[in-house]
Amino acid sequence: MILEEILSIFLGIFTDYTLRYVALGSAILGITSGALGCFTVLRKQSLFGDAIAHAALPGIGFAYLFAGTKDSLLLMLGAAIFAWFGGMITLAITNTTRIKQDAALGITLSVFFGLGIVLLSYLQSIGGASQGGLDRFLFGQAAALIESDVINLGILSALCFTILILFYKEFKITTFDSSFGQSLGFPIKYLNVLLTSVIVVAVVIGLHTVGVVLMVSMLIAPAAAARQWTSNLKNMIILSAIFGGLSGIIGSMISSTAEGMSTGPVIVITITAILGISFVFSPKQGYLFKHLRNQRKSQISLDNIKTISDKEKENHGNI
Amino acid sequence: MEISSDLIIIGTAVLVAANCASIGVFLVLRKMAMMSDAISHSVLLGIVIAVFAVGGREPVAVIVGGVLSGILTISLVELLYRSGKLKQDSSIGIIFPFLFAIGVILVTQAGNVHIDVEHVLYGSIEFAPFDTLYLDELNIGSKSMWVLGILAIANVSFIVILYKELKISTFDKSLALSAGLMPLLVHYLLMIMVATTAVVAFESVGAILVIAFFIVPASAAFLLTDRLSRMLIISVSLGIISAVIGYLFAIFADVSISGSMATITGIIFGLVWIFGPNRGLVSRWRRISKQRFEVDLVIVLTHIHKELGSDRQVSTSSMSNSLGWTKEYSKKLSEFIQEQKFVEKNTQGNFTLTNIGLKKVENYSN
Repeated sequence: MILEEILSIFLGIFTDYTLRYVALGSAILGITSGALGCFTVLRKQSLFGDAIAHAALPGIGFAYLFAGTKDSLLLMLGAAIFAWFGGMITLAITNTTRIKQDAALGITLSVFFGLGIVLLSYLQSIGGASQGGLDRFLFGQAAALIESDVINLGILSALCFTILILFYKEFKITTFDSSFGQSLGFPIKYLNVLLTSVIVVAVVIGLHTVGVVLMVSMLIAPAAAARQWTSNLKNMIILSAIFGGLSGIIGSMISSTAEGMSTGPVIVITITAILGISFVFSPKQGYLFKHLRNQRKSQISLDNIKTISDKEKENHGNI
Repeated sequence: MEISSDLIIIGTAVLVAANCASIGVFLVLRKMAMMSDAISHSVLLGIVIAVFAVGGREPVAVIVGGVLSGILTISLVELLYRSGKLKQDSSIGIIFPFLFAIGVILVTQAGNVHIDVEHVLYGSIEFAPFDTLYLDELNIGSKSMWVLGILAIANVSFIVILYKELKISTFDKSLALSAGLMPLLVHYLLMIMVATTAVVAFESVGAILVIAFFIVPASAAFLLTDRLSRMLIISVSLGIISAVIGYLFAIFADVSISGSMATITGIIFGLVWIFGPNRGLVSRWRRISKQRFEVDLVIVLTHIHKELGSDRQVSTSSMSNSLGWTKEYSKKLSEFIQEQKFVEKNTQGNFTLTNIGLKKVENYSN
């Protein structure tokens, strides 16, 4: 019975028109943010994604204010510009003051988001219901994805992956040993800006599906889960993309079963569950195998003690 | 007791600003600013569960639920972080969206919980005047003002009583440990105060303004002073100023009150960042260009001295050629050294050193 139900949900991807695009859009997001998230996690910039996702909100407001349409490509452009700007402000604060990165991220996040809310409320006050479509960027609304949105997301994602493949070696070197990269003559400064820009694109893709608040999870969780299974960057990126894509598909399928359940939070819970599973079951670092190994080790040492004490008894007889 | 609703909204905001901005100083100094981000989001889960458990929005239950979920967040983050599997920022970025996501699903799935998810983010301070407290059917004023007032007393006494402990454990953890000031206990007490402040403030103004008041005024104050006591006072003052200006702007432009207050904290921070004395961008830039000018003065005088020593002539144009400066900059410098009577121009337009200039060069070379 249950199996049948699961099967019918799964088949829904092929038959149900809405679900197909929702799942596809979420998968695209998961794959892109999963792959690029590896770099943010390895560069200890995990919360950077959180800050720039929040910083994107005023961009959506401005794009709508000036262009007056809800054309998704235009809104995404506005979002990208502000997300990028927010990222640069964060870097500028840490570079020119004694304020540490965490506070700089908090400043960008809260102030830009506050500005975004001001703009959205302004749009609401001048245009009546026009704000309705913009609200969905807060928590995302994968259920509202249509064919043209998914095509746009696909193009953006392809752009990210092209840059990632072209600059893979450069990104790798700036991530692990930027001073070495500098000594080899790589333009580290520009590469950092390029990498930030690609992450901005991933964040903008995420605004449609999981929204600004939960976006950070899509960048960190797949990468952290992949990190439990491998120490090789290439494998980590591939695995992380798979985890992200999988959680997008599973999350959108689960959320389609219940009325009014928003997709974004379900996707986030799914990817966190994958992370939890990785913590327990990964062969090298997982709790389960560590526990088994420790047990075996203590058994071996117990055996050793036993044989030693037996030998002692043989040698000295009963004292 | 009738107070105008504007006054109640401003009062509520001012109390939130003061509460958050004072505790926020320690968050910024201890590099735990993003912890406030995590707590103020995951508080939602605790509030939702509390509302489920009690069956209504009982203020005490909501605060207890929120504080518990705040402590849960902190413990989970530290558990992940101490297990060595993740860095601290990654742990934060995984735990709070997870708890927030569960909260959002619970809210949307249970129709009878009167929590609007969007209002969780940007609050509903507009309604503070209508939420009044009754004592024996006597209206004793706005609920949020009472709760925030009590919280303010708690926060002030926390900071005053534990000032020494907080100060030493913030700046020198090992000293605090060796002096028996229990930095770990101080850490957890501080986290409990952060969680309580976040929950209470969150109820009135929403998650984003809580984060803004926690981090932004304290960061601005950090750029203005080196003394902890002054930083606390400046931070609270900036928070209160942002609350008042933000409210006035919101009424003027008819926009979201909490969004406007958060924006104003950012504008004030930006002003301090650019124009602040000593550490501001402008004064830094001035200092640097002044230093550069002084160094270049040394260079140009030594240059003239050396060139004259080997019987070559120096003019403004040869200066810019041999020292690689722009024409304008060389002109500015040569005018300056003539004004100061370090050099004189002869009839061919070449420089000769005066006695003052010669002394200056000899001073440099010693």
